[in-house]
Amino acid sequence: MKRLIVLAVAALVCLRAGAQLQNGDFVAVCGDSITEQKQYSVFIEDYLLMCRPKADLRVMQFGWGGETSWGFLGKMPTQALKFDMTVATTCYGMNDGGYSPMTPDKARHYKDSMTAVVKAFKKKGVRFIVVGSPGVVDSKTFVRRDMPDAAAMYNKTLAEERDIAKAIAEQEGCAFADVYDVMMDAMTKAKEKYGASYQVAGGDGIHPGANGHLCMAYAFLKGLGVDGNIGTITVDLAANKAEGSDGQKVLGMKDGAVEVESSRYPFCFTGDPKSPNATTGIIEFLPFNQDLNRYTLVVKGAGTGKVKVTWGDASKEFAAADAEKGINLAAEFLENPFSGPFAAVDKVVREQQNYETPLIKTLMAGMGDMRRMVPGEQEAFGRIEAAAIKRGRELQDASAAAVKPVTHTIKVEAVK
Amino acid sequence: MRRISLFFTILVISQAARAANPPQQDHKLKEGDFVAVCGDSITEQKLYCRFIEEYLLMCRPKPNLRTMQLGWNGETSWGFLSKMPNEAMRFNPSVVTICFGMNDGGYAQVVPNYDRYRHSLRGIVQDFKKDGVRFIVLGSPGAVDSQTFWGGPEVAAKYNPILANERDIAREVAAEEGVTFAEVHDLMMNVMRRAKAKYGKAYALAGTEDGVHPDENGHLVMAYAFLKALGCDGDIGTITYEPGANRAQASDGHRILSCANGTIEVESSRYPYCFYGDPSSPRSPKGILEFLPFNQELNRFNLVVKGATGQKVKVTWGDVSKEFAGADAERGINLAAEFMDNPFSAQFQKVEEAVKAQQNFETPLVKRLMHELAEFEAFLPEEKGAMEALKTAGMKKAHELFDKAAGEVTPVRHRITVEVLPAGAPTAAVVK
Repeated sequence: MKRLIVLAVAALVCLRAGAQLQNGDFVAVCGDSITEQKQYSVFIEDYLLMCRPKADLRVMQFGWGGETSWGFLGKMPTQALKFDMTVATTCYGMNDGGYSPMTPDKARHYKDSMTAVVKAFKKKGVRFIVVGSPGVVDSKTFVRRDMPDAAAMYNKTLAEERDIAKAIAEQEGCAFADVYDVMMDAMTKAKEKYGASYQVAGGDGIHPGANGHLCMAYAFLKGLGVDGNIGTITVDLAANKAEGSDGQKVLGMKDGAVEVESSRYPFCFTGDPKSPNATTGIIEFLPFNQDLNRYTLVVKGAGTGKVKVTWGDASKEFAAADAEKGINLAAEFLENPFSGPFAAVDKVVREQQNYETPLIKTLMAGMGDMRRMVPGEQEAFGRIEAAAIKRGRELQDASAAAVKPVTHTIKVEAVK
Repeated sequence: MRRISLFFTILVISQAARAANPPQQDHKLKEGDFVAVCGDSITEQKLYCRFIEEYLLMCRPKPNLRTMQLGWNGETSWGFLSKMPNEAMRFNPSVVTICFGMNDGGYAQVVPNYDRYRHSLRGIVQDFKKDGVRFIVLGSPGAVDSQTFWGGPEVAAKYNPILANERDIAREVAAEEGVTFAEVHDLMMNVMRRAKAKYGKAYALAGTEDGVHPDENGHLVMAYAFLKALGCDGDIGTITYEPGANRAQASDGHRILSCANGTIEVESSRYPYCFYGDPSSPRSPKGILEFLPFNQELNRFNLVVKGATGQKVKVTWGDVSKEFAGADAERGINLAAEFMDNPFSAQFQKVEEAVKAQQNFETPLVKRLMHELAEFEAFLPEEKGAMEALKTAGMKKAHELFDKAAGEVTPVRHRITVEVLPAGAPTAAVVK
């Protein structure tokens, strides 16, 4: 008995100790129609491939419109668990709450199903699980007939689910991603700036645009424990010397212009800041760049005045003291030499994730029915299923292969 | 230049001639025909298409007819048109029935795109013709229920005229293309009005649940419209009895095994169409029969008693007895209409179960194996062969299920007892 307790404690410690990304991890992003939108899951994959907190990471999305925790639980054996993921993120609750006030039965159902989902992943050998809370509904665009305060009512339900998800994560020794609080906080602040009509949770109040999805990706990347250090380029103007951290190779320096070859990219943002379909408008209400996207230029020997930094087509001036402490280029230069390569990889990632929806929803989900329809053809079904899974893997490999080192120049000048 | 202009003149003239004299199709079923019943979720309910198959198998207007349903929920004419090559056409039907329009019209929530509907119907008909389909029945959409339609009675009052416009388009396309038209809409509207007058407004003809998807009653109306368009003549059989000679004769599909003391033993390989259920429920087709000439036009299984004029005739069939005026018996009594519960009922239901199993298989066959699997052909070109093999296996299984249903249609032996009574004899109640 004593030995069993020791083993159980050891297992728990192991799970906690192993709760971080490792080289070669395969991350399954699981959720409902919000996941099936393939936005926050693409942002997560973009980040893991290009910002590269660990090497050789793979991502696959398992989003399914209308899904609940109990629905996913039922489908796991024939779908998600057929893949050999080592890490899983879950984001259920939006449909589980039934778009109505919370009841003890609903809370129990959600708790039991989410706990069972976590246990099923553990049983499969998934090393690192991030239990996400649901997000929020939009305070302006989520409306229900004959219910003037529908959004407030339903956000209360979702908050209760957040607490349940958090408790499950603690109880099961998993990481927790607080999607709800991140979205709620960003939504409140963003609406103060852009007006109540600026949607963070989408036109229907449920399915966010790119802005809300960036909040979700932030919460999950934090849950995944990434440290946000993309790289540091240190330039010593007095010594005419520069050096780069891991993933940033300095090719040369002449007259303050440093040529760098980067195999780790900063995360890049797009769109008109005023549009909910852009990621640029929400970042001031979200510590994405501070916590997850630090691509720092440190300038030494620039004296006490100002330094002018030119990166790509843009130039900006900074106090030399700030430059000596470090300037986050990813935050200061939203349009930068990585923007093009980042968009190209993003396109390949989207093609990959677009394939994953029919792979799961059509082929894997329909396979049981189809096998029963023509039971004499098991061999052909087996071959097709294996080929479809292999194709998914090939597309993931293509996404990873699209990340090519980017050569760029940072010019630093002391302003007199 | 003159040459080109001559060419276009000839082209225009030849097209005008084609429009004036559209290629005429067959308008009759033939032995061995394979009938594909195409439509939307109303077809996928597998009711009117089951009734059609049951009729074609058991009432047997022609021998060896096969039926298949290709219903797809939410389908529109343009959706079906795009799916045809990989789905409907793979089965090589010789006859098709088409019923789209319910979703095409947009439920009075949007402005209907009539041009797209017309263009798509024409495309469907032309593609079927090109594929060698010999006999095409182009149906109008049905109707929504004036009371139970999900949008409410006011929206129903707006949507039925839209469906009527689509009916006109379907009729025009059928005429232009020289194919047969099935008038489903008017028939449903007419029957709905009369049935509600009898049973009350709440009696739904186009669906108790949503006013779009009919129950068995509305589906019988649809089946009637298509069977009439398929040219079924309704002659199931005639048994002619001569009491004086103690002799009986039967038409094709029925064999007299014996005739003694007014009892005629018959073996029938053609069944009358049978009905079940509580007439006051929309779930039964029985309640609608008085508003629809189904028995009169499609289901005539007649008993003729010669020399009975001026007397009374008591007929016992199965467990039920009924009396008729001799003159009526001499003209012919439609046993199918007079004896709803009859010696065919049990076997009819047995066949029905097999037809249900077959048509239930056809939905995932088309939607999963033929359609969803095809989506993966683009991703997995190297597995195209395996996918084709699966489709072929699925089609073979569908055929086996049809053969099983057809195999259940075994000859039924039954007895008809006829007593000729004096005209003044006391009338007995129906005996069961």
